[in-house]
Amino acid sequence: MAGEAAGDPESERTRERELARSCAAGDVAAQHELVRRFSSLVWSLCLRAGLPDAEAQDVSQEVFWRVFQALPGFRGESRLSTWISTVALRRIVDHRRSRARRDVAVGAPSDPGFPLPAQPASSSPENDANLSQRRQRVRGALDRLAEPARSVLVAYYLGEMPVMAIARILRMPEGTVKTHLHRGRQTLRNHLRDLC
Amino acid sequence: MLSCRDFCDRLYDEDCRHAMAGRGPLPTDVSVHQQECAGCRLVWAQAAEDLATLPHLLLEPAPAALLADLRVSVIKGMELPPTLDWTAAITWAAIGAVLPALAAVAGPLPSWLAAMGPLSLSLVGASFAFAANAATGALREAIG
Repeated sequence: MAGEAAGDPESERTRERELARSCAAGDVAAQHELVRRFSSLVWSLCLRAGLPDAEAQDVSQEVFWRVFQALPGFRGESRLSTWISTVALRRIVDHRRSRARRDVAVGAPSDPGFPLPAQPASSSPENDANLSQRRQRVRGALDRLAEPARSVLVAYYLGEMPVMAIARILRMPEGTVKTHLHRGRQTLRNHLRDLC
Repeated sequence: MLSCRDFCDRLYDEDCRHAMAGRGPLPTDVSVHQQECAGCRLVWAQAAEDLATLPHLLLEPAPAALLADLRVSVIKGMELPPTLDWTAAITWAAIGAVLPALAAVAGPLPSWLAAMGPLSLSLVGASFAFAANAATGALREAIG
């Protein structure tokens, strides 16, 4: 999901290529712009993939470090948000593997004492009350989903990644990715139904 | 002609995602199936609704502390120290230390190696394994 993608897709793609080129050339203002536009996306991918706040913060920083290292290779074949999401998902998967090797128990979001994500800032209270409730429902349902279903949903809907890319990174057949998407979506819909 | 099962799988293909988001035309096979199957029309509508709403519901504003750290990193040129998995590093160093000792037990070593003594051999083995592990990690980071 692009931070502020607007206008027709082709001009947006051109703007993204320009932004990537400026960042790669060392333009600090462009680099700040990239961080501003995509930090929420990367942070959300980390959080929604089940990383606790502290780890999500570290991994987010590493993701941006990798993004800046790899930007010269960005050719604009996909949207910048999708490309950054791919980098983020790869890093999240690596981080999980490394954490599993260290055998560190980090708990689950439903555990007592698990750090809760920061709440989004409200812009209009009456409108945001319902949105906030829906967000909480979706997050609650997402937290109850087992891996890799949760990562699949987050990568597809939040990262706007194609099924093929998700399958490659998570090392599973495309059919399995689609099955996770279908079942996961039904689970989320069931949790949201009461609010509609 | 698509079956209903195939139709459900097609929902997640990129051409269908673009069609749902209004960024592309409705694929012909999907359109043909929709005309003849009321159930799948509903499934399509629900998938389109999810595609429009879920990204917003899943998005979380980045905390101010992260943004501040990232801004500082940008100014400093994104100089993030390379990460080293110490568990793996120590494991490989231990393997590197033990292997020369096992090799010495298994058979006679060349005279120049035997002259180093078991302790030096183990230290050299551990150093090589540690360095190899770090180099592999750095290479993996560079490749991304």
